Amino acid sequence: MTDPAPLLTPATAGKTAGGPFRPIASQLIRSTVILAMVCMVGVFVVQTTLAVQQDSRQYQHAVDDIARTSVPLLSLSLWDIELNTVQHQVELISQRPQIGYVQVTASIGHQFFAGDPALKGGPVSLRINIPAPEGSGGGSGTVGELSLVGNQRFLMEAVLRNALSVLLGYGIFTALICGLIAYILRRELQNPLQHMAQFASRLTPKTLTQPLDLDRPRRANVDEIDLVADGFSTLQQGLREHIKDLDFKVEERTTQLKELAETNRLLSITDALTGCFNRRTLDTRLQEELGRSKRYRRKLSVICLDLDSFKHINDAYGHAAGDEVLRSVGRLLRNSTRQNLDWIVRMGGEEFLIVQPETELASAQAHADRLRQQIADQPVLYNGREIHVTASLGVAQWQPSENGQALIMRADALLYGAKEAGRNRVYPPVSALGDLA
Amino acid sequence: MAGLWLALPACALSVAFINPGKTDEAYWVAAAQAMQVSAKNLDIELEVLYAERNHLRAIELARKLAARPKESRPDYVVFSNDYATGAQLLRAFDGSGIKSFMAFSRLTADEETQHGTPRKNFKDWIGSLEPVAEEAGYLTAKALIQRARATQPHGPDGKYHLLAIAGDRSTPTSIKRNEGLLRAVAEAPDVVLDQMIYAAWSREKAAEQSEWLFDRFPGARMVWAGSDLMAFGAMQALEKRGGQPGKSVLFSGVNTSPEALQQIKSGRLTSLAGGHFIAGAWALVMIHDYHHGRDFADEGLQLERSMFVLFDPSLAKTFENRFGQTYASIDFRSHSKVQNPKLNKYEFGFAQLLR
Repeated sequence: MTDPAPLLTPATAGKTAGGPFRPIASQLIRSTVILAMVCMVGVFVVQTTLAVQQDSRQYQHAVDDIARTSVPLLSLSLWDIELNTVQHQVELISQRPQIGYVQVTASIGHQFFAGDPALKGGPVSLRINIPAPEGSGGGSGTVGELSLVGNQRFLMEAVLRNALSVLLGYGIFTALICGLIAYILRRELQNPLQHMAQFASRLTPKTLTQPLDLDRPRRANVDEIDLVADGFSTLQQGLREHIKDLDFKVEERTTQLKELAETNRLLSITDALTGCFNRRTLDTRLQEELGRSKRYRRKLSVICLDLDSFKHINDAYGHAAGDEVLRSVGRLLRNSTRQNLDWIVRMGGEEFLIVQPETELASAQAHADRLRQQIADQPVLYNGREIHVTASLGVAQWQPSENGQALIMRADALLYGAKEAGRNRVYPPVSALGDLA
Repeated sequence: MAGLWLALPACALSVAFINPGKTDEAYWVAAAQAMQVSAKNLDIELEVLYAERNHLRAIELARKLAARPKESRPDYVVFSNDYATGAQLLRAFDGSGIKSFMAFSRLTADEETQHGTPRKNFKDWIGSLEPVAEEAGYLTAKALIQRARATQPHGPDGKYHLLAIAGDRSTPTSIKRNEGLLRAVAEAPDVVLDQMIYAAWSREKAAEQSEWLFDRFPGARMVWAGSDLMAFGAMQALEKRGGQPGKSVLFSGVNTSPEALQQIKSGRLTSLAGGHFIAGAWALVMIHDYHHGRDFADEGLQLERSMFVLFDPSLAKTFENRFGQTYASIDFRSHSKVQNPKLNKYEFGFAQLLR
């Protein structure tokens, strides 16, 4: 009935219950043993009490028998004054285990005794008269008196023997029953439970699919252990599905987040009205672009574009029409530049900047002029009305010693030169290409 | 027959006597002494072995005798049926070539039906001689009662109360002595026998038991004893409680021991019977005659003779004078049929020896 060494770490198990680990089987066994002990003590007390009564009765009977069977011979011996025989008889009686002390007192006062002198003063179990033998002529008188002092030790020993045999018998019986219960509890309860506990403690999301195998012998009925095992299996199944669902949801949300982040990023760098980059992104982007051109020793040109008389459009057609014009121009610019290479920034108001990497001034001029042509040729449709728009453009090629700001200022100065020169034109003009170069 | 007898003297007749008594027991010593005289008279080689009142020892002695080598083995053995050992002794000697003769006490009637009479079951058992033991009890009791009537007051019931101290319950002579007492009591309607006890021929036991008896029957005025020693024991108990033997209580005994004779003379002992110690000596006469061709079968194989004499002080004096030191004055030859061919009937009494 020793407790098996707990296979789980008691520390983790203890945390939940708040005390040291103790297997349920050993607890049950302990309770069983205590109950069995209590029952045993009860049986022992009852049986011993009965035995004491029975032994006392038997003991009294034995003493009576000894007295009755001894009296005739004592009677004869006393009558015949066969004193040795009387003494011998007294000694024989005293040798009976039930008898502690014997005393025969003859009618004339002479005493015979034998046995344990320590018991002499003890309580007399039996005192009977010894009559004169029949036909002796002694009449109906008595020749003496027989006093028997019982040997209480014999009675005690009988009771003790009885008690010990009861104790031993029930003790062995109880030990056997408890042992069997312990064995069954361990096999039927402790081992499967510990197995399940170990299984549960080892379970991780990765091993969730691993089934619980209790290795129990086949049986006709289903018990609580099986129910718990089934519960485990159901729980595992549910967890598996739940985790799968979670994965899907996480993926979905991640995609959404990515999309949202992209949108945010785009929003932060573009101008909402025209779809072009905003003024904030210009510096960093242009710096990168200039760095790249410097590294690869490539040319780079910028075009500054400003819509002519835009205030007039706003005044004549309203701000919404102005917005529509800006949207339309932005669209045109984006469609008319090289995808993934050229990029457009709305500088503010009705001014745009087109950055053209790997482009020399001449082609940038040509491009600027194509753009001017297209803007001038395609009126913007707004509420069924055609709004004619023109633009002035300044083109500058980046000088390797030049920073972005200086480049833009230069292109901007050229743009204002174009405005000065009458609007709807590119400055420097395409024909003056050679002069500027 | 005469020729045969003449041829024999060179080879003396040898007899062993298993004496049931003790070496210091007056009666049995006297019996052995008388036998020695008889043996000497008749040219018999006598060996006396004492059993010391131990019946097991008696049987042991018999077995040793029977086991002796032939040359040292006696021709005859004399023993008594004391303590009913007779049959066992007969068996011990049966087939040993030793002839058995039972003296003093023979088998009881019951024992005889079981073991037979001489020369039947036991071929070498040639016969027996026994004093009429009943006489001893009867004579002493009678004398005791007569004296009580003359000198003692009777009890409140108008009767004389008597106590009896017998020897044992198994020796035939003991039983017969008791029968004699009972006959005497039966003949005396004014006498009551309060109790008979058995003191095993012992003075000490008789003294001890008498104390009880006197306590139990304080009105008793007579004590009959089966032997002298037991009477002395009873007297001792009486004196211890302040009584006077021969005055407050009368005593009777059996045996002719010097002490007994002295007590008769002093009056402490009221009556005494004795003389039967002579039975062993007479037995040797019978064996002698038988051995020398004069069988006693014509008188009977088991003889019973009156050998008791009731002593009074003067007869006691006569006994002392005649046999005080030795029994050599008795001529046993004169009682032998072989020595006296004209003799036809054995006169094995004792009274005639005191005449």
